[in-house]
Amino acid sequence: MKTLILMALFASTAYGAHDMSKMDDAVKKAASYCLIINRDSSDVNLYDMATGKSNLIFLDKFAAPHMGMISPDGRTLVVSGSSDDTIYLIDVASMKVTKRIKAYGEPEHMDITPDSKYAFCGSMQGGVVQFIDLRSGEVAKAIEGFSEPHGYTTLPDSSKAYISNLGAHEVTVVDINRLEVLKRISVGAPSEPSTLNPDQYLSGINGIINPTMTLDGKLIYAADGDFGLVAVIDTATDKVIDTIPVGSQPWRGYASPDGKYVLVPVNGEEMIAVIDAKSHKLVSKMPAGAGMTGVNFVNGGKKAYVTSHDDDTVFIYNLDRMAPAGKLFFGENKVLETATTDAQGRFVYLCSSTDDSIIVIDGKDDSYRRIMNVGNFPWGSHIMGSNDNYCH
Amino acid sequence: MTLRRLIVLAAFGLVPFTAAAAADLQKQIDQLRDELNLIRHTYEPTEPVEVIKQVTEWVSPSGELFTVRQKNDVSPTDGSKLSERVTYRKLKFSRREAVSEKIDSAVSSAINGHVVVGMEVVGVYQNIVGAGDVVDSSGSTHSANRGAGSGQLDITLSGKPMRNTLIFVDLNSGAGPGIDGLAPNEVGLNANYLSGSGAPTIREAWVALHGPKRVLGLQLGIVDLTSAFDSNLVANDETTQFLSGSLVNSPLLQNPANGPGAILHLNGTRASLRLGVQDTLGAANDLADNLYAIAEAAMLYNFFGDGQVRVWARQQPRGAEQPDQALGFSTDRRVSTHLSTFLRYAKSSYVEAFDPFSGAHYAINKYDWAASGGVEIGNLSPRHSKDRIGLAYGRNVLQTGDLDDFAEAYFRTVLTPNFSVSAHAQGIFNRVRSATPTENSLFSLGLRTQLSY
Repeated sequence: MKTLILMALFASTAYGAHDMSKMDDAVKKAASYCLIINRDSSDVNLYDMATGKSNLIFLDKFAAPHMGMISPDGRTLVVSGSSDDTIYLIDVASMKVTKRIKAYGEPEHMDITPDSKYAFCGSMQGGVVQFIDLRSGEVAKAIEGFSEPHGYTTLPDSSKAYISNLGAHEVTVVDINRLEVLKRISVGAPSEPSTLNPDQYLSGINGIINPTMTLDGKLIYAADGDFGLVAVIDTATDKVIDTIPVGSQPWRGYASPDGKYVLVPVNGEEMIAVIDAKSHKLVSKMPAGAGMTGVNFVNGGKKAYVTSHDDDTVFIYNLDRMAPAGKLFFGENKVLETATTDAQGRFVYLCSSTDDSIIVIDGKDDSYRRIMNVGNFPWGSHIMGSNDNYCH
Repeated sequence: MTLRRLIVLAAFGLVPFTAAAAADLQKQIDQLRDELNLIRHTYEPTEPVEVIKQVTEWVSPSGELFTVRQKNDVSPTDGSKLSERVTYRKLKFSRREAVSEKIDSAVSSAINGHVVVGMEVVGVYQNIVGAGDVVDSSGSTHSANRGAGSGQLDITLSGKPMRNTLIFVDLNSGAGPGIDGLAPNEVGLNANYLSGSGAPTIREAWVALHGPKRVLGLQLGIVDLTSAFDSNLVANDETTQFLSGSLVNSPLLQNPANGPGAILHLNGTRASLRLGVQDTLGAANDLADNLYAIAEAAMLYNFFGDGQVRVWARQQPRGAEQPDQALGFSTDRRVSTHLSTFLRYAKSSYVEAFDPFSGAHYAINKYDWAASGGVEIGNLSPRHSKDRIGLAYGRNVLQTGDLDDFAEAYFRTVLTPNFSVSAHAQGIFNRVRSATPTENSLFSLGLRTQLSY
């Protein structure tokens, strides 16, 4: 028995050490890629930012990938195929699809726990979030009862996940250790105007796009599209501690890397709202564009780029002076989707879907270059270690 | 025994594959074929359908949500009291959709892609309180304790006929002269738009074009200059904000009634410039001789809140007479989420006329200067985030030296996203007159309803 225990300890230690060295290499390699999700060519591109080489990984016909993420250990790439209802697990080192997991209709967005244990991806159609054990590649649990699960955030200690519902006005808290719903949090007032005017709400519900966590993990900012407000949730108690009216049709919050601000595109008013992340006060609203889909920070959070999907324009803001600082127009019908800032917080990789390109903006001087032919209809991007990884 | 097992066993000779067994097998195959044909003929593909359903929930003050009633309506988590509410939730599932439903859906989306129709109905009732204004020859104040109503209906059509182009038409009809008909005054207790009446008219009809970068834009047609000039976040809309005409636009703007004109927009990141011209007389006259012209520069600033300042200058033609000019500014400032302020000021030139018969010199333009300022308080609670309280004070001074001080307070509550009601208290006082030294103060209480969708 003693021998058995010793053998087991030896085996685990040896495996652990070997695993660790592999993990370091894996992280280093994975961090050198800008993952590009190509919706129409049903592939993903692990674009090497240093060499400029495209590494295309084909999924399946008509997969229409929507979002992808690389696990923090650098080993697994998870991609949602929204049209073929499949979640793909890809080995980053070999760039091969290792597992296809059937989803519950329109899998779109996801998150991966910081310890790389679970990836969880929600099916918009079925209202189900699947927690996938990344070590075994199996679904550990599928939790039902969501209404268009759309946005995901995990606490830094991997203890809880916050999932926003676009088809309702609530954020669901999941205990990751037990994989059970811990709490459902309503944003807005206990009595909603929807009780008075069902006609409007029967034509569409614009709930919460994403729960956005502050850098310290203490607060969640959840913008509700119908109510025109941002709810502030304390992650220690999971209670709404403040609500901030920001204007018509707020999109979602984006936390600046210096921890000072949360920026919220207010699409109904074509404004960008700036909220002080600590005091929860609206400090500024500045003019922006139509159909904004993202915010990226550079220069340590002193400058913000706001992507206007409808105006084909990126609006620039100086957050030190709290003032607009110009705009970048990329040409008519060069439809902009979303962007990712690199881990150093200098370059922004912006998807331009209609011309199959990525626009790389230098945060230092706002100059930019175009990388053509990255795949058909680049829809989203992802870089490991970036502060600004998001989808739409 | 299943068919598959029967075949397998037969193949290995474990059961005698007799003629009876073959007949039985054939029977099962025929049965399966019939069932397959039935499915082929009756099958309709199901489609994902989105349904929004009314649901009842129980919510704690901190937002904890339960879909089933908890014991004693108390949260089991923290013991707080739960409120019951009715809300809506989007559900998706697959079902067979009838062809007629698909056609309805297709027709509806086709219409939506072309012209967007909107409607707005505004009704106002105002009542003079107290003594009223002028005492007539019989010794009675003709406006004392009398009320008047007015209403406006607007049907708007808008669409995008081509790229970078917007077309807009506003068909308007009104009824009732409003309170200003009972107690005429220079301030306008009932703004121009609300006191109009008569046959249906085309209030606005224009085409707007803009460049691909939206820096340059041009609006042509029957235009409303007040929608582009002297605008203000807090005091610029008689249907949702202050009722008094002098708190909607500066009285010195003196813009002509909506008519043929053009507005040129130049939009920068923080600054913008607008130039507007409008015919003041009508089609039978030379357009160039009677153009009302206005220019405005606007600048956004972010300093202890957000603000915008607009400076305008206009010239009003007077046919053969010397035109008069005015210069003004309109600024607003969002101090906090709950408080916004505004300030307006305008000053006019003095255009003198001489009456050779009486030898009198007098001004032919009415106003000398006008100023107003106020606050808007809003977002009082998450439950009433769109309710607003407005307070404003102003003064209009005429070229004759006559002046009016005026003030207004209102409270507007949004009962549904498409329907709001507001209560207004208005006053005109310090009414200095050169002919009759003073006029009585005028006080009015009013109620306004607004329905739009």
